[in-house]
Amino acid sequence: MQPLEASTMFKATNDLLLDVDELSVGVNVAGREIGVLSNVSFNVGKGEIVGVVGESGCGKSLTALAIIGLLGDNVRITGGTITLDGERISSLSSTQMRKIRGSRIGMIFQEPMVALNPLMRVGRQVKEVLVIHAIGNRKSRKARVLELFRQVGLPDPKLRYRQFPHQLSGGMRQRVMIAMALAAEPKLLIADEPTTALDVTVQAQILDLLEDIRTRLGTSVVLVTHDMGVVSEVADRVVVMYAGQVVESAPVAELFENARHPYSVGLLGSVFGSNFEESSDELPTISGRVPSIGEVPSGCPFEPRCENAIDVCRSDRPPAASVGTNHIVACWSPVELPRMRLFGKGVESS
Amino acid sequence: MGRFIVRRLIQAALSLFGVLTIVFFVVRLTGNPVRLLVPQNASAADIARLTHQLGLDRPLLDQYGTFLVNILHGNLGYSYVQSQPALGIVLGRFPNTVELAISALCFSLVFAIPIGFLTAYFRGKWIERLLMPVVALGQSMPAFWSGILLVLVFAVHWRILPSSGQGGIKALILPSITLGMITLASIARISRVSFLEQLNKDYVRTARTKGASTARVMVVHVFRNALLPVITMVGLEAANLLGGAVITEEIFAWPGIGQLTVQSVQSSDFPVVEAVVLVASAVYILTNLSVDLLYGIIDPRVRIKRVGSR
Ligand SMILES: Nc1ncnc2c1ncn2[C@@H]1O[C@H](COP(=O)(O)OP(=O)(O)O)[C@@H](O)[C@H]1O
Ligand SMILES: [Mg+2]
Repeated sequence: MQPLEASTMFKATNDLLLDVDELSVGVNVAGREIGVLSNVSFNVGKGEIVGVVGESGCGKSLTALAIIGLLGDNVRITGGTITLDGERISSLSSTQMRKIRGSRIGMIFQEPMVALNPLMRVGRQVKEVLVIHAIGNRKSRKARVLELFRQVGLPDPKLRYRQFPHQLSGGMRQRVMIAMALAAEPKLLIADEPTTALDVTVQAQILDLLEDIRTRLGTSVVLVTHDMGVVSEVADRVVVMYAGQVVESAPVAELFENARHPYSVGLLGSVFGSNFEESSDELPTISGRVPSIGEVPSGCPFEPRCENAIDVCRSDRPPAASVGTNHIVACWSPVELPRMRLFGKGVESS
Repeated sequence: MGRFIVRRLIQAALSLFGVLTIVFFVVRLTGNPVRLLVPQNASAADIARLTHQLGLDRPLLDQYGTFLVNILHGNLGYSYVQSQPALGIVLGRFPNTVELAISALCFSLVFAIPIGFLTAYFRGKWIERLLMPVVALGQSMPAFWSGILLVLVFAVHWRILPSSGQGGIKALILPSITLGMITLASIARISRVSFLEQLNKDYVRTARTKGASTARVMVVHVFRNALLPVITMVGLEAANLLGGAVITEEIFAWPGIGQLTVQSVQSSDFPVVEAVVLVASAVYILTNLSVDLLYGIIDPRVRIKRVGSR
């Protein structure tokens, strides 16, 4: 393992779209600032789908919201930078950031049922993006929305255009959200748990759509999910987050074959079973829970739940280190290869 | 939608029937009104004659039957005091009440909705800390107190506004403020809660991800959604105001049906009391019905539900 320079891989090339570098975010709770993201670094290449995974409460949504500049009133970036297409967007004014939202970054959310304004026809809600960013004119905008509806696979676009959100199914609403996010042809699409609230068949369709969008439009996608299964379907690269930190990142095939962080191994095991076969009856789960904000231990955040833990894990935070091509892990005591033998050490069978 | 309205109108008719029945018997519990109608030195024979003339010596159920039959003919009887049709007297006063109610409602809305919005949007800031006590004050001041205070200041001390009577915009100002104050406070509170609730909704975040400015988020998205619960409240308040404002109309000698209620109860003018109650109830029911219809126009989800289920 070699120690790692601040940011990696794509930085030198022109293929880099998004670079999140040492991002730290703090939440103000009753007058006290508590760190919730610490030194999060990852990047997204042009046309790349990067999955950000971790259990609920690991800071995935905060990372996504920090990128699009929509952290709440009591939340702020305390360190690090976010660079989009060579431009440092983490230090832009709110007015400048507003111009980027919707036009250069699109975002969709988990709950398509409530993410749309219930009183406005969906066509108008999609068209609003074009109005805000002064794209096209009155006539061309409607045509563009209908075209977007076709692109995202909404049946009968003309009818949908005039409908209200409650008249659409969950899957159709998520398609509307995607149409909205893509309306101004942003280069980056952030999808925060886009399929979590949908049933399985619709999930698969939405994931197919995201992949299709990447292929046809070259849009980069940050796919936030708690589900390794979703990542395995569409992502090119995976960033594993735990307690507000990146613990491992690797190309998807590399992670699935050679996951090194005990947490990643546990997440994979809980989806695919210890032998990565979905047929196994009882999936192992990681015992314990994600620490709440303010309770993150000073050493490795995963140490209390980790069966690989050694003394140093309790006292010092592990630095990110390269363990292969594009493969980074932050762990003092990574799972050794071959994994099969060791599987189960960092993971408890339920 | 049509069936919904028909059903609501039938319900309304039943409610009116119930209200009239109650009022018919309750006023007759107050005793024989004839004693108040005749001069103090009238003989027992005079009283008996008048009682008979008004039909008040007949058995109660008999009177009630006649009352119902007459109502079906749109006849609520003659005022004992003014010997004019009771309904005519009430309807003659009603425009004054409408004028005051609308003016009071406008006054309260003009302030209440911005106050609700500002205190929600600037929660925890000085604007909220300044406005909320004002709202609390408005809500806790009874009309007989705030009305008299306003008269003292504007009519007696500064002499810039009339203290009583009706006629022109100037005469409308003090009674509207007095009457609108409490409405203002309750609508401001409801709108504040409603705005607060909407500001945390997911669709607001969606609008922001589109790059919408705060002004656009508020005007285009939040406002309409936040107004839905407010409309219900405004409807109830409007219905109340249209039923006549007893205290305010008394203070400012405003010739509306609130004042008429007091007068007719004091003089035991049964037909007028009955007519006042009938008109006030009908207006109350119709106002609420229109609010429901308005709700259906603003909220597409309600439209569908109504057609389907109710
Ligand atoms: N506005 C906020 N105020 C206080 N705590 C917050 C806020 N937003 C998120 N958090 C906390 O930060 C942590 C990470 O949250 P989040 O990014 O939503 O996790 P994830 O999306 O991975 O489930 C959680 O512990 C959450 O409670
Ligand atoms: Mg989340």
